[in-house]
Amino acid sequence: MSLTKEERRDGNGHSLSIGREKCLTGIEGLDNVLGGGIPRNNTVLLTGNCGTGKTSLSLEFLLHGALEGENGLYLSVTEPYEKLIANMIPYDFFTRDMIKSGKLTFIDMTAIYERFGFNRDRMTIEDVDLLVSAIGDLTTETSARRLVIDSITSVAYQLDTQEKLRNMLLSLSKTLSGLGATSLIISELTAADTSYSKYGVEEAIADGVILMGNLERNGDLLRTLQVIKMRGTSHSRAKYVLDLTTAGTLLVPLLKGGSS
Amino acid sequence: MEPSQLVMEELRDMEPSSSVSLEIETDVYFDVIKGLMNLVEDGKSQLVYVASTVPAEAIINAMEMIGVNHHGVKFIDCVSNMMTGPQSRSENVIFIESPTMLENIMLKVEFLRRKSPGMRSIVVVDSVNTLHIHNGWKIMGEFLHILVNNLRARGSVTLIISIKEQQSQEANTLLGLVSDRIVKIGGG
Repeated sequence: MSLTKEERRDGNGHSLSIGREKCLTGIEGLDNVLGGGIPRNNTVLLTGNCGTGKTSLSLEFLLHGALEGENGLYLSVTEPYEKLIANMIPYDFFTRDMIKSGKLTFIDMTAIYERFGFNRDRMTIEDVDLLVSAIGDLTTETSARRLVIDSITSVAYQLDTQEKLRNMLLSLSKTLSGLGATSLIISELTAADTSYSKYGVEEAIADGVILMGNLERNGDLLRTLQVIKMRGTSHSRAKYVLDLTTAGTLLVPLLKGGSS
Repeated sequence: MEPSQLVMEELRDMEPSSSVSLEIETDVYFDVIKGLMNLVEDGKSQLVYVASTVPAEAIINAMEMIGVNHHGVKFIDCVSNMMTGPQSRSENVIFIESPTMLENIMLKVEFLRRKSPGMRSIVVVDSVNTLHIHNGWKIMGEFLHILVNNLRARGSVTLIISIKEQQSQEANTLLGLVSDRIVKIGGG
């Protein structure tokens, strides 16, 4: 099992631990940054501009889970799953058997919308409840311990008020946590956005925020990652440079001397 | 003793996690590289060569001319992309966009290390002087400190080349900080 727990014991060997069970992302550098992984059952906002590696990182999170025997569910709003797989980095540790065996399940969110007959232009409060319920059912049906929604920004386009988005995220977070799923919710930012999420409410509700970015330094463009918050663990808040490779995502510290 | 033999003699029994500075004279540059290539003939080690002085292709061609086997060597080429000229198509060469992307050098070193699990990695940085053309000493210090310690933590060996004729007080101080010992080659 990909579980770690911060254990502290007294002189008699009794556990003093108040730490949470962790879900190893399998991305070594990120697990180190997070102090051993994402606290189990957390809902984490993975946010950033286009081309920063959000989809790749979230896929890798599911692949490592599958390797450890944990089922993963990927809900895509933005891309059909075949296209997603076709464009995926050819990871050394990915096999199609992961999908055939049910370790990985990809679902196109538009299929859920059609199944429930949602008005995709404007969802009602009832629609939102049904959507959350449907995601919960899918999590149960697939026995998913890890879940990715790509992206909450696209889902939110169909919500006409921030209240509905807040309610949906609260309800979704509670449902997924209750089902024992650790979730990455992808949020798309544009260069003009000044907060960590498109609508400003996502970051407040999520248990954690991982910010991915593009850093231009003297004409070089670097992909960066920074954990802004993560409830239930002590973590680094430093900025790291990452590389998306076939051996997985690699992280190194951003060199500070670069700013001088 | 020939410079290439001297390199082998000095470096053959390097301890895991060690870091060695090689201060060499310009006229023995390719002889030293020849000696470094021979370090991995045992098949149990891989040489990761960070080329920022000359393109990887130039090193490969020079080694082929003198009949040195370079097939166990992986190159991280920091200069070819910057020159936008023709590049090596060898599968043993990875390109970095610019020698200013020091983080990417560390990332590619780690990538190559992961691609050869079970192999001992010997990482050669060629050279501290040419990297300094593109980077200040402050960031160079950070880079070498993190790179060397990361490799130490994984049992890998770091060899840092510096060119005697281009040496400065800053380079000596930095190399003294990150190296366990300094080997000087050349000068008769």
